Amino acid sequence: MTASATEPAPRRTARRRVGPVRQALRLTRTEFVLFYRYRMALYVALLPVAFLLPAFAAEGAELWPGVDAVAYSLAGAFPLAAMTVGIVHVSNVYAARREEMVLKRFRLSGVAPAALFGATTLSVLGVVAVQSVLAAVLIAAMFGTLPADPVLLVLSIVLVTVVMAQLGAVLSRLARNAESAQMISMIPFFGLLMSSGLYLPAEMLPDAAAAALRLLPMAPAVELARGAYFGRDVFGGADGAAAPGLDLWFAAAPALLTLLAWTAAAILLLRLVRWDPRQAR
Amino acid sequence: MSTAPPPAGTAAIDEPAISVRDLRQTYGDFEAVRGISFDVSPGELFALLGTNGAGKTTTVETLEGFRRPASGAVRVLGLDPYGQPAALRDRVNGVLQHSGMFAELTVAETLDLAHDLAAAPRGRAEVLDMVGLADRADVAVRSLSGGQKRRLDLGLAVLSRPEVLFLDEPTTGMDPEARRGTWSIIGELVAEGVAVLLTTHYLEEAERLADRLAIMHRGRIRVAGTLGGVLDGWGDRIRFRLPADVRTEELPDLPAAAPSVEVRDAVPWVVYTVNGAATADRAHRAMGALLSWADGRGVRLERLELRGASLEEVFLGVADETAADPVGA
Repeated sequence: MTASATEPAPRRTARRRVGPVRQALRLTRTEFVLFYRYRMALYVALLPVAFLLPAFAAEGAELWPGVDAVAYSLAGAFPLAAMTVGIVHVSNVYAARREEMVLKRFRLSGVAPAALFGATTLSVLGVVAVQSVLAAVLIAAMFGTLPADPVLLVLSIVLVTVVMAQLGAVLSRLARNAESAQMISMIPFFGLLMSSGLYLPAEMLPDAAAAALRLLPMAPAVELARGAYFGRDVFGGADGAAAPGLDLWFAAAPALLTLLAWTAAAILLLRLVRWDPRQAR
Repeated sequence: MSTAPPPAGTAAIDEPAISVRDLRQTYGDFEAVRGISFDVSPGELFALLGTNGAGKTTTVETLEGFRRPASGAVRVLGLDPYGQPAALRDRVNGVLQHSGMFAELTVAETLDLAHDLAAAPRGRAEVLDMVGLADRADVAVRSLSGGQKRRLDLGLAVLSRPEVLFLDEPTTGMDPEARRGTWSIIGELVAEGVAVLLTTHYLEEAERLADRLAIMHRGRIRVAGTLGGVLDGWGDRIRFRLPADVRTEELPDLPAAAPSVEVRDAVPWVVYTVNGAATADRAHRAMGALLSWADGRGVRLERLELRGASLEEVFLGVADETAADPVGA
């Protein structure tokens, strides 16, 4: 899917081939314009906020010294934002664009698939970045806590966003049109929500079930966001001991590897995406 | 044929820009395309005609790289187009049956986006001027009329200066003036050496533009060739009312033509299809023989008419065929 390694043959007209990266960046610009003009997308972006409102009920409790229970819940908003925009919005947009032949026309006019997926991912990342900054500002303002390991936090947000944006595109394969995409996307949306540990803490489940959930993408993403934000080892049912510096990364390694595996799988699944509405039947 | 040099791409000189060999496509048990072959050279416009469901769009989609042939082979500029390989991407473009543009962008934004994605693009002003949308540049695509959208589609397709252009019903919804404008744009592109595959329901469009054409029906090419060749092959028709005192067995055989009888408005008509190889004077000889037979018998041939074939007549004749396989398919 990247630019061909072979030398382009001589042409009638001098052509400077536009590589997938530049195409993706140019398309991302348009995605932001469309995201703004197509206001519906903004509601999807705000949806995670509504799902986190119950978190405020636990105000005042402290899980560990300096870690408020509400702040701990709110840290789960980072992957939740990525999941909502990726699964609900991207699947809807891909189904709509396939039906309107937007995808097909881009492909016919020489836009690489990598450029289209790249632009989708970058634009979702942009939205998730804004939501994440807002969530961090909220946590910092309410509880005076700043991310303990911003690098690990950003890396885990980027990984889960990449996974969810690609899975959203793949989901469009199952939908005939934008409306059915919206319906169909609710199944993985609630599945991933319930598997995330935000509502059903893994500690409350049998060990085998908890271990199984940690193989899905959301539970490790939530653990990564919380662990990175508060600098504590919360991975795989650990007790939340303070884990400074590299200790945190060692503790986070299994969760990171799980997300990396999901990233690879989601990218492989992209070949299921259909460009042509007649092939989607 | 144009005098422009053929594009020196991966295709050798004289190699067709588009080549289809015994292409078959199936949907489950249904065979949508049943073994068709044709070529399109650089600087040539090939029109693919046919009824709805004849297999035209499936054929075009295969050439555009959206479908793998069930059997047979297709090549575009010497390459397998399936999956739009990188080496073909900036050399091919087209107009799809439906527009496929972002409704929320303006015309100018749409062209600018396509411009920045293409390898050797024409400028926005040039394209707007070509397709006559200069005064609509700041209008949202959603506010364009159907014909204007179609013109923008064509503008987007020619913006990337493709060597091969697929035009799937490019003038649908256009008013006659816009249609003529579109024809002249397409004519100029062909003269510049672009290979064009056109599908259309407007037979006049094919008559005006096509160097060669094919009529598909039920997955097969039933008739193919130059416009003149197709019309000659279809034959000239002599028609008259069957005289009351003539029985059908008594009708004469004419040079290169045998009679048939069809009933129109409850009245039997005689039809001779004149199919001789001497296309220039075959109608004259058949008509001369018919009139001398009539004079000899002393009958008047009422409503006598002689007509050369029109493309519409050929098209309707092909579309009218029952499931029976025709010769030469």
